[in-house]
Amino acid sequence: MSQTKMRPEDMLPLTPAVFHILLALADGEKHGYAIMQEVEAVSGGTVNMGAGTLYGSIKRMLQAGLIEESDERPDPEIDHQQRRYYRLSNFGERVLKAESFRLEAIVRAARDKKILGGTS
Amino acid sequence: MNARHQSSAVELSVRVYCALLWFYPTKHRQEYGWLMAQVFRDKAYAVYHGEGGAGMVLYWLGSLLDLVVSVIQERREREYVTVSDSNIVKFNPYLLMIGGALLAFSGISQLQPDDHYNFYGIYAVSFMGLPGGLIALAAGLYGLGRRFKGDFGRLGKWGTLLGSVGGITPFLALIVAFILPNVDALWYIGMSGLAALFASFILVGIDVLRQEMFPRWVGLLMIVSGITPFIALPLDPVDVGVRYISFAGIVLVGGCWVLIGNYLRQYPQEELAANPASAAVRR
Repeated sequence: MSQTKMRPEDMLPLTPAVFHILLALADGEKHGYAIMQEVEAVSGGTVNMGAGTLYGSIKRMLQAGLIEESDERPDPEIDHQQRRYYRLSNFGERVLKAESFRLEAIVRAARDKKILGGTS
Repeated sequence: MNARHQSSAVELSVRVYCALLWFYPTKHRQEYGWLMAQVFRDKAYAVYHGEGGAGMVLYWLGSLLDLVVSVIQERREREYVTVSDSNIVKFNPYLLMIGGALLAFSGISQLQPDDHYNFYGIYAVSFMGLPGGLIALAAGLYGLGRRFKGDFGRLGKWGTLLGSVGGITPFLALIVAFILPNVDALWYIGMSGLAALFASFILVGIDVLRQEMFPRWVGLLMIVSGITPFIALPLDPVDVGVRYISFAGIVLVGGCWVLIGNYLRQYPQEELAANPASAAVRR
């Protein structure tokens, strides 16, 4: 399949849901509900992802090779429920970086135009 | 509110949510339904515990909205995926090859020495290949149009559509003729469908040459397969006696599509899957 041959820039711009999920997985693998909690926390409650949007996005991200299903399971004593864990793929990490740079450039432009209170 | 009451209220919500998951496409539901229900349950317990009944009402409203939006998205995507990944698209070369082979086989019926209203023996068996061949060619043309929709020009797109409809029409007319044997209009409808199918071969062939999608011989074979019936069939005596030219013409048409299908079978398919995945995560 061709995802590995694709450049991260080919995937941009990402949908907000995909970007938030990638961001949530940046510091380690998580299951669906943990991703949902992380997205809510990071966005300050402005992004409330429902289960349908979450797993629709996860499905497409798996297909695009941005994330992988983790084979390893955490300690059963910590998490005894049967859950699926997801982690960033190398390609997903590169796409996340590319999108972050893209957004950073936009924010920088907004700063230059004094929309965010001047150049930092 | 005691824990048992809280638990039963949430579990009832989960049961209702699980029932609503039936709106999703089966494949998506089988793969992700239980995970979605699990997340819904986790969140529902957190909301019920933190915000009580009022929070649950808001949570349900949000979940219903999410469900409606994502069901529409999955259904739309499924349509796209099944069309681009479906058996018709995936197996379109084989459908064309089978259609061509059945059509060529049906040509044997033209060798029956007497009248062509009552086929018998091997002639009857071979004639049975005609409806199957037409359906396979119609499906194959439809798949061809969907598979190369980005490459075909307007002529090719309309041509493949015309061929799909044209190929199905004689088949339907034949079925109706079994129920209503004395309706002459069905014969004309069937013949019009056949003419449309053969005309579509010419249109698609011209577009293949214009767009330079495949080697020239592929487009030329399509055109030959479309022109041949219009030339060969009228040259034979009508309805009685061995129709050698019709036999040769039908075999030629079928053979063309076997060769075209065989070429398409070897055509690289990677491009089919590459774009939808990246497009699906892009805004």
